[in-house]
This record gives sequence, C-alpha cells and structure tokens, in this order.
Amino acid sequence: MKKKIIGKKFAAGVFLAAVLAAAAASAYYFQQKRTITLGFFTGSPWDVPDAYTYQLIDDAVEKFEADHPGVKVKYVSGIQKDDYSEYIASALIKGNAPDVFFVLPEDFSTFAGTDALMNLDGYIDRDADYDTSRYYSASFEFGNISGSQYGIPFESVPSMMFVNKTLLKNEGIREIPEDWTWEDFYEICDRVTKDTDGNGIEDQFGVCGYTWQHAFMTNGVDFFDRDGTNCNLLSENAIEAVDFLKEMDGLTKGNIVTADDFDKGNVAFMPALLSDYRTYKPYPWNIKKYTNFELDCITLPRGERGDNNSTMSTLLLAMNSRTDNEELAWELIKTFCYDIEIQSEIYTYKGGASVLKTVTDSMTTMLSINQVLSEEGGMDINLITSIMDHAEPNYNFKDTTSVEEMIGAGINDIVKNGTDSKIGLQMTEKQVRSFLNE
Amino acid sequence: MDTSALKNSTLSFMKSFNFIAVLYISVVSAVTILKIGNSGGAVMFLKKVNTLPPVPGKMLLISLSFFVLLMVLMYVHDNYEIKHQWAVIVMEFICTVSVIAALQVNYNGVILLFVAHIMKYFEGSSKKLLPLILGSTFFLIFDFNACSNIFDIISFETYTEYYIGTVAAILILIKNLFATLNIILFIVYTILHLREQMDEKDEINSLNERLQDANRELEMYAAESEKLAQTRERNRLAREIHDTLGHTLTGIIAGIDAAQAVADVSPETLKRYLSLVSDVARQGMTDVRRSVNELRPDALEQRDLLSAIRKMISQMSAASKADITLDNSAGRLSFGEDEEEVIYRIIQESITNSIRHGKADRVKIRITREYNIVTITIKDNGIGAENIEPGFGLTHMKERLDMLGGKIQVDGKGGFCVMAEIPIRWGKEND
Repeated sequence: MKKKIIGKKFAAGVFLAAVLAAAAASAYYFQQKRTITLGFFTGSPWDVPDAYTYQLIDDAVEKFEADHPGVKVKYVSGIQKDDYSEYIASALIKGNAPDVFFVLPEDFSTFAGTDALMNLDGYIDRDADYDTSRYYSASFEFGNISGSQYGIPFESVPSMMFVNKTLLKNEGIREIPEDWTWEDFYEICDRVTKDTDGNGIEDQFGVCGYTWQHAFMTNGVDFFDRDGTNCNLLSENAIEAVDFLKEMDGLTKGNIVTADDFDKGNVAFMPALLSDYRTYKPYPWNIKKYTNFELDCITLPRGERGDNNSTMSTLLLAMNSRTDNEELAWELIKTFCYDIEIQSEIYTYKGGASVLKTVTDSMTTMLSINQVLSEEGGMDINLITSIMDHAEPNYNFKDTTSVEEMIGAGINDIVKNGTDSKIGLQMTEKQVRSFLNE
Repeated sequence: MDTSALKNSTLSFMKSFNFIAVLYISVVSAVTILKIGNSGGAVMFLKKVNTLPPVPGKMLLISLSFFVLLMVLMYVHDNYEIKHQWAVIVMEFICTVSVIAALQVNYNGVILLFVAHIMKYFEGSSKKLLPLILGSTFFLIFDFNACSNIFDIISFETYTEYYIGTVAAILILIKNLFATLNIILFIVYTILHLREQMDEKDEINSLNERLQDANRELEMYAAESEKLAQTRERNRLAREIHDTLGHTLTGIIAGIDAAQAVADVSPETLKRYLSLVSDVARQGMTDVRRSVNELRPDALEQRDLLSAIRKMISQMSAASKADITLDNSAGRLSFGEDEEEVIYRIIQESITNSIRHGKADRVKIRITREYNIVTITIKDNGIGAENIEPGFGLTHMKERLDMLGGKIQVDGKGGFCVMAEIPIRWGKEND
C-alpha cells in the first residue's frame, strides 16, 4: 500500500485546535478560581433546635471575602441536616460537590474512605501560622484516619451526665465529687430506685440511656485499633464493664426507663451531650423540657480501671479531593475552624463547643456562657474545659456504625440473658472479626 | 473474498465493535451513577465502595475521546508514511491504556484491538510473536480483579446493583457478551493473519519454483548455444581449410598437372610452373600459419586485450604485408572476459575479411569510448562490396554482439568499413 506523507496543513490544523482548546480550558479554569463553593446544612448537627445557622456562616463568608478580594463564596442554602449526608454524597458521586463542605461525624469515615476528601497533611505542614496543638486533641484527632488528616474540626460536643438536682436533693444526696466512680453511681441509683406513690410499681429510677459505650469509655476499654482492622473485646476492662452493665440493669427490675421519664423528673441521671445542656438549660428552650426540676451536669462516673472520660463528637470541615481551588479552600477552612472570632460565635449561635482551646478557655467565652446560663446560676466553665481536655474522639473507621451496632446487640444479649460476660464477649468478638474480614 | 480482505474487514469490524462496547460501558456506568446520585442511594453506595466513582460526564468524554484518538492514530499509522513507528505504537498504547483506565478496567477488550492493529507491523520470525506475547500479558494485567487489588476501582457489577434483579443481570450479560465476542473476533483475526502469512509463504515458494524452472531452461539454452558455437567454429574451420589449404592445394595440383604436361616438352616451362607451385605452396603455408594463429584460443589469456590486439595486428601484417594501424583513444582496455573476447574477435575477423576478400593493403582500426559505449571502427582501402551479403563472418560477428546488447554497422562503399558498438558493464574497468 502506498502511504501518504503527513501534510503540513493537517499538522498545523491539529496544533491550532490544541492551542485553542488549551486557551479555552485555562480561561474557564481561571474563572473557576475566583469562586469557591461551600456546603453546609441548616440546623444543628446534634439534633437540638438551632435557629442561627446563617449568622455564623454569613459572618465567616464575609470575613473570608474581605480577606480575599475578588473571590466569591457560593453556597446552596436551605439543606436540612437530615438530607445533608445524601446531598453531599450525591454531589460527590455526580462530581459537583462543593470545594469545602461540613462533614457530619457519621459520614466522615464513609467520605474519607472513598477518597472524596483531600488529605490535608501537606497544608498543615506548609502553613507556618497553623498550629494544630491549639485544638482539643480529641476534636482534631477525629479528623485523622490512619495518620492522615482529612477533616478539620469546627465544633465539638462531649458527652456528659445530666443530673436531676431536685431529685437528688429530695433523696438527701448533696454533692457528687467530680471524680466519682461506678460504685458511687451504683449506690445512688440503687438508693433512688423506688416506688414513690406506693402502687407497688417502681416509678423513680437511677439512670436512663446509659450504654455499653459509656461503660467502655470510662473503664479504659480500647476495643479497636484506630483504623478498624482489629477488634479486642476480651480485656479485663471490657469484662468488668459488661459486668457493671448487668448490675445496673438489675436495678431497673425489668422496667424500661426512657428519656421521657427523665424529662418528667423521675430519673436521677441521663448521659447527654453538651449541646443538649446548652440548648435546654437556658430560655427559651427550658420551658419545653426539664421544667419541674433543676438540671445540672457532671462528668461520667469512672470504672476501676478507667477515668471520668467522655467521648467527643465533632463536626468537621473538609476539602473536596476534586477541587481546583485548593489554596482558597484551605483558607476558607481556616476561616471557619481557626479564626478566633468565628470560633467564638459558636458560643453565641451554636449548641456545641469551640474546638480551639483558647476560645473555650477565654474569659469572653466564659462570660457569654455565663450570660446565657445566668438564669440558673451559671455553669462551671472549668467542667467543660476539663471534660474536653479528657475527651476521647469517637472511632472513625469506615464500618464504625455497623460494628458498634453489632457490639451493642451482643452486649445487650449478654445483659438481658445473663450470659457469662467473657463467653458472650468472645462470641461477639468472633462475629465482629468475621465481619471486618469480609 | 481472499484472506487479506477478510482480515482487514475483521479489523474494521473489531474497531466498530469496540467503540460500541466502550460506549456501552461508559454510558451505562454514567447513567447509573447519575441515577444513584438522584435517587437517594448515594450514601449507601459510598459505603459499599472504596473510591468515588468517576464523574459521569468526564468518564464518558475521556473514554470516548481517547478511543477516537486511538482510531485517528491507527488511521494515520496505516495510511501515512511514518518515520518513528515506535513513537506511534507507544502513543497508541497510551491511548489504549487511557481508555481502559477511564472505564476503570471494566472493559479491557481495547488491548486486543491494539494488538490486532500492531500485529501487521511486526514481521519476521523473531518479532512476529512479540505483539501476541505483549498483548496477552497486558490482557492479563488489565484484568479487573487483578487491578482492583492495587487500585481503588469500582466494578460494573457494583453499579448494576442499583437495578432490580433482571435488569442488572441483563446489563452484566451484555457486558460479558461484548468481552467474549471481542475475544472471538481477536482469535479470528489472529488466525486470518497467520493464514495470510502462510499464503504469502506459499506464493514465495511457487515463485521460487518458477524461477528454478526458468533457470533450468536457461541452462539448456546455454548448453544448446554452446553446441551451436561449436558447430559454427567447425564451419569456420572448414571454411578456413577450404579457403586456405583448398585454394593452395588446388593451385598446387593444377600447377603440378601443368608441370607434368610440359615436363617432357619444355624443361624451362616446367621450372616456371614448379616455381609457381612453390610460390602457391609458400603462400598456403603462410595462410595456414595465420589461420593457426587466429585459432589459438589462449591469445587473450596470456596478455591484456590491447597487447593481444597489437600482437595479432603485427602477426597479420607480417603475414599479409598489409599496413595495419591501431588508434586507441579508449585508454586502458579492461573489460569483462566475454566483452574482451568479442572485441578481439571482431577486430580479427574484420582484418581477415579485409585482407582475404577486400585485397586491401591498408587497414585502420580505431577504438573509442563514450561513457560505457565502446566503439570499434575497422576501415580498409580494399575493393569493398556493392551489395553486402551477410556472409559467414558478418553473421557471426552480429551474433556475438547481440549477446552483449551491441550493434554492428557495415559499409562497403570505398573500401570496407565495420563499426561496432559494445555497451560495457560498469565496474569492471576499475579493477
């Protein structure tokens, strides 16, 4: 076959087309560079009433745009918290997710596990002004998976123990020490569980909503390595914790105690989040709940081998791994998560706590909390700082939810059926391991 | 339809087939991703996979663009002259891998298309197997299960889990059908390719046989023409004998008869006759010597052409008392053996003719050369010939020249002139 020589015109045409395409692409790219998109939801991530979402967002956006002239932050408003996970997941799949978006604690492992989130280690290392030690370590660590940072904390809520002060006063219990133990806890619960109206049925109880997670956390059970590859439920700590749960369950004498009973003032203790306390303690929400007793909060009781620790749930801000605006995205994340002014607004507008130690510790914060809480005599700021300092981050590997459900079901069986704790945990551990190996 | 045409149409079909396969995989994946995104199953889907699915539009665009680019490269490769063939093959390979990567290794048939395409550019026994070996290696490497252990990729089957049972099964069936049919197409193409090469071999073999036949025939011709040359040489000898000894002996016989008749009558006349007979006999002797000289086959073997010619001239002029001159402007005469032989014989024959038939006493020989044409002119002052009858000598000369592709011209007016042109083969004279 006779072959033709490639014509100069043809080559020139191809070259011209390539140049035009490159020019169009770069024009589009630079246009894109001037806008940055943000994903957020309205409402509280902790399921408490929240009416001020936009104030904080708008302040942060305004501040960011003032610091970066010519750059516009674009966002879609009106997405409810319940629809938010699906909204972001859908946008990620379709490839039109925002450059920067908030990540709910329950979504973080899923998104990070699909490489949807940018690894931020490089930015953290390069940014000389950025000091990670200014964060509460439990807050910051939650954004870390296998040693790499995929999310920066924005707002945290530690778990704590709600106390019905009125009930305790009536039962002659005055002070609960800050480092109270399971023994103290059991004793008080035992004391208050009784039939007050004399109809033969117990109607006042010690605690509701106390789960295996609280027991594990406060007895130093480290049942997973942090990347979720191995499970160890057979430590003495874990067995003790399950034994304690059995004891506590024995106190209710077969009655089912709910949060509703606590709201009515019939229960002495209930584990809850800081956001619940900050929302329902002051006006206006205090008229909706806890109206007939004085509410207080304390640390969770500790087991023999543990501490008065609490778990900390954290709302993160993450960068889309497919963003073209990496530098601006990092700056925007910093505006939300590292700017003292914006972080301070969490205490004004949101239910959780600032992830920055300086903000939570600072006098102004103290003042604003005290202002808010003043009607009931104020909340001990030292308690929050201490709880946050000692908090442990929640597990954040990909199957956390499924695995925790599995362990929960296993421990529930042990408690309800009175199975030997060790044997029961052995079986549960086997189940979990086979699930993880799938 | 012959093998080659069938092979080419198989390749064309394979190209269209692969285009449809790539289109199918990318469109189904893209549409499914969009459907998952819009149906509220995005979080569930992300929990199932280890990586984000490719952006639907981008995947479609990238896979199809690289496929089209691959087609363009293949077209250019096949139809244009290319200096660096390897560069094109590497570019084609990059496109192939890009298409496969864009489809997240859910369809790897394009690698077979690539191998089928480059197969024809690997000829020769050592290289012939290279594309096949490389192809099967890459085909194994670009396998979804192999790649999913190294890279985070999402299988086509994971996407189809979105659909209810039957639809998912049909979608997977179609995908597998594409993969299988493509392999079959590739095998068919390979078989056709091998058959085509075997056909080519057969053709070469048959051509070879024909060449050998022709060679044999040529050998027979050569043998025949040798025989013919022998016959001619014998004829020439016969003529020489007839021309020299015949004439001489006839003269001697006639002289002796006459001498016998007058022997008793006039001793004076007898003496005269005997003296004549003696002259004739001497003349005959000279002729015989010349003839023998002419027939000496080793004249050329002992010396180079020019000195052989000179020697011949001096012998002939000594024997015939004719004035023979040589004018050579062609420089050193060194040609092929056959060429030298022809030149030598033409000059010899022409001088003999001039002396014997033309009764000339002056012969001029001139050898000239222009590029590769050597021209020999032999001119005498003899009686010439009004009508040139193609006698023995001339025919012989013409035959010899024909064998070398030369020409001969004769002119019989005002003496006789022979002009021969011999094309000389290149290269010999510089030895």
